[in-house]
Amino acid sequence: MDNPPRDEADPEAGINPPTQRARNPIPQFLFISFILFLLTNHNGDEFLARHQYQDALKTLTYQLSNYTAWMNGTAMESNFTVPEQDVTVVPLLDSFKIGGGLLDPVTSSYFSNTTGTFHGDTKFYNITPPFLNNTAHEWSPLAEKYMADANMTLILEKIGTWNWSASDKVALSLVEKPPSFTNASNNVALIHGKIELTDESTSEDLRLEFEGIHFISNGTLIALAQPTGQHVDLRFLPSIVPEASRNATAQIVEPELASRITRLKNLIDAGVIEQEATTDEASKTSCPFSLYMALDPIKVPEKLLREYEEEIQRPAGIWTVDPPPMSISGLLMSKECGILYEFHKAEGIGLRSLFRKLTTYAGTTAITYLILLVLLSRQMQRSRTPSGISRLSFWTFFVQATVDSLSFAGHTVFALIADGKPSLSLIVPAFLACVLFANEAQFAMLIQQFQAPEDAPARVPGPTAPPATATPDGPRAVADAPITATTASPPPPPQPTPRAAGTCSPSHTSSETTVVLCVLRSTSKVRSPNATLCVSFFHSDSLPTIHISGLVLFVFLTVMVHTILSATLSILFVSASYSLFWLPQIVRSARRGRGSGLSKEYLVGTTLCRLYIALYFLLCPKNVLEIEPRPWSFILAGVVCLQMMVVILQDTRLGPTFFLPRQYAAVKIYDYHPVMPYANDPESPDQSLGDCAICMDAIYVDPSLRRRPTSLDGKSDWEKSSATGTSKRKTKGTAGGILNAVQMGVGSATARKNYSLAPCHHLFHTDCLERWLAIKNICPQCRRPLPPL
Amino acid sequence: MALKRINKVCPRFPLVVVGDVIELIDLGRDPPSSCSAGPTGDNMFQWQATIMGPGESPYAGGVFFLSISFPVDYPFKPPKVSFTTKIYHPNINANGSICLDILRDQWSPALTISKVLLSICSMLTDPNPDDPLVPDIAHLYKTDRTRYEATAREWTRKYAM
Repeated sequence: MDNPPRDEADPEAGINPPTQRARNPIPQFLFISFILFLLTNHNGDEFLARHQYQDALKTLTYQLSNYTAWMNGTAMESNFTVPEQDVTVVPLLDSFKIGGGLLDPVTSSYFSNTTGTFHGDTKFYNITPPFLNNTAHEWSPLAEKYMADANMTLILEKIGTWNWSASDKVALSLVEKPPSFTNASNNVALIHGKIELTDESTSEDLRLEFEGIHFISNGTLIALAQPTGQHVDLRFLPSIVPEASRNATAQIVEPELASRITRLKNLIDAGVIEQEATTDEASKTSCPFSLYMALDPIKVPEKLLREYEEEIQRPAGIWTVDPPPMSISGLLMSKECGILYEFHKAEGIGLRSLFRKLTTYAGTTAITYLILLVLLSRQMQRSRTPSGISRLSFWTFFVQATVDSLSFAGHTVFALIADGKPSLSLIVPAFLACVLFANEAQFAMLIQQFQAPEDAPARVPGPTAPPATATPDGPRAVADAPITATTASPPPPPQPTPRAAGTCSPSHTSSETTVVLCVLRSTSKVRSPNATLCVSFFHSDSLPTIHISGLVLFVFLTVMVHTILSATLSILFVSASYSLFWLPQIVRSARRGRGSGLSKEYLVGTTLCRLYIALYFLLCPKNVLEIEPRPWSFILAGVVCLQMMVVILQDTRLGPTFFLPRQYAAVKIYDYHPVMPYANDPESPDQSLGDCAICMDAIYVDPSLRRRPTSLDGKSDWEKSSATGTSKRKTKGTAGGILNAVQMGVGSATARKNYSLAPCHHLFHTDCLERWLAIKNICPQCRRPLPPL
Repeated sequence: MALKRINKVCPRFPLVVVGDVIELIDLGRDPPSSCSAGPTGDNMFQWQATIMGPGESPYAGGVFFLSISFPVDYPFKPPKVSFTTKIYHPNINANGSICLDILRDQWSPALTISKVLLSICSMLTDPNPDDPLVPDIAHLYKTDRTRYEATAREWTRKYAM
């Protein structure tokens, strides 16, 4: 079956534009699978990763075996021993006032769960012997003792390229493994986490990973740190803890090693091979560190604090104290590199406050998304009609949909990976973002569907087209062509090619014949020159289209994947997409010479809501993601607001092009009511311009000149009136003609509103066309897109 | 408007079989070859149409009846056209519903009943198995054309002659 009218989109030009391209699904499918393969497998060597896992397992097993041997005192066989504690450390710590003491549980206490993040300023000291000689700190002698057996060449070898002295910010993220109750001493807990040293000038980070022990009773934390990627050897933990707690430490390390082995084994068995992110930390440095930290005591009775912490872990809704935030002080030292970082009272966001912040954030964001959703649905309701949709810009909604899809992905990821119940509240904004995304994407597709034919005529070479209509009933088509201008009327429609356009007369008969002809031609499979032309057109056109769309898809997917993975790209993406938020709408409105049709409510509401979300991350200094405030976000907000103002003003009396200089502002608005000459056909039965293809009634140029039908039957009336019509025509050019022309000129201003000539030279009654345009924005006869009436 | 327009397109001509001389068919108001249509009774919104099975198709020789009902906002909404005669065709189901885009989303107010009937005629000659209403028939049409044609001829003989 053929679809006659669709295939025959352009009868006059004689070329069928490829409105419905035959798509070969197989190459497309292969292409998309290839893209997905590239995206999912960008490192590609799972085999290598598996090897790494097995190597890690081997190392761990080896470590456990000789560690157990050491603990059992059978160290002779494995010749592994844990070195004794460095005695020089304790005085050094004391001089920095690190190392908590026991507190009176009635008045003050330490937090027992240190899970959270800490931020603070840090101070760098170079404690290599040559430097120590030049400085006169009170602790210098102690440090000298600590560094007594340092080897300068080794130090230089290990210290790497990192600019140690420039790092003045430290951020710690700490996860505490709660002490298991099977453990004999409930006093120690394992901790692990990350330290980030930030170089403010270059905003580069050095990341260290640490593993250690938290002594709950006196609030000290001792850990071993290594640059990311170099695993910390847990076995050496007992060597840095004070003598008294050495046994407890040793006991807690063993089950941890064992549990890691089981976990790794399970992972390998399950085939879950995750690629470890390759970092360049190794190039920055390879210094091992020891981390000595002490929690700052808070003035809350221990009993109350424990109650509070219990409440956080297992919320029961009871009222507890509101303790001051956690803070921590510490030293990060590397004996091997002669580095000492001191940080004091690094303020921590404990779980509680982080959770509260998260919940608040989730709540406000959810409300914001809800507002956006309501605004969008109301706007969609408002712009439901084809003319409403034709005014909107596809890209405006597409960008919004993209932003929301990203937000959906981001929220979901955070809700799922961040452990703890409160982070689950992020599901709510994620869900709403998803709904919003779906709606916007659907709406964007709708807009595109409506506007897709807009570009079609541009690709059809109009003037060069063979006059297809001339072949079947040539004399007739020519006869219908209303080309000759009458005395009264200025030159006919301001079309670039009036001659070529002449073949498509406003009378319905010739073009309709073409419709049928095209139908029959395609059904009878005649390879007319017309058909071959359209085939070649299709072939030359479709291949690049597939390639281009595939390429666009590929670039888009790649960008999206990388955007979600990288923070900087996310920020760039957000700022880029936000800065050209309403821009496509402005351009479209200006080019089409019509306002956007978006309500002020939608414009203002959407702008504010979207800016709220973006600025929360870009400006709020203590946002949940801890993104540093960016000063340029003010400019971003300003630009977006300016764009919004322009869109609003475009809809007012200022007109859609008010911001352009006058010479560019002249938008060609299509005139549906040009002055039309009569068909210069002496045999023409009356003054009608032909029939309206919609209602099939004759179209009269000027109803005042039209003779009222005297009989009831329309057909016979035509014949009767023909005589007068012809006689009138014959007097044209004479005095009577001038009179006639004057009459027409007077009447024409309003009379011309009676008919509408589409850009494709199809003539309709204005009322009929208006009713149809409310349903679809295409010409009823040739299906070309039509400008707003 | 609807009633006026329906009146306009009402073909008052008897059934004309012009055959292959397609150029002569003026479809402005005349009925196309091998099709005819007209109101069934006083209700101008309810029509009956007949299509002669196209000569080059397995439906040749059959006379198929269709019912056409015009919506009140005709011609801005498509008329509802369905076969009342049983027909074996990939795009026409047992209820007589026709899967034809111009009767759905591709409707245009410039289309007339004669053009719609002509489209249906051409659909009888060239079924569109890629967008079928009855997948079984479409599959048979694609794989075993002779069997499809035999069945279609059989059905035509049985129901449409």
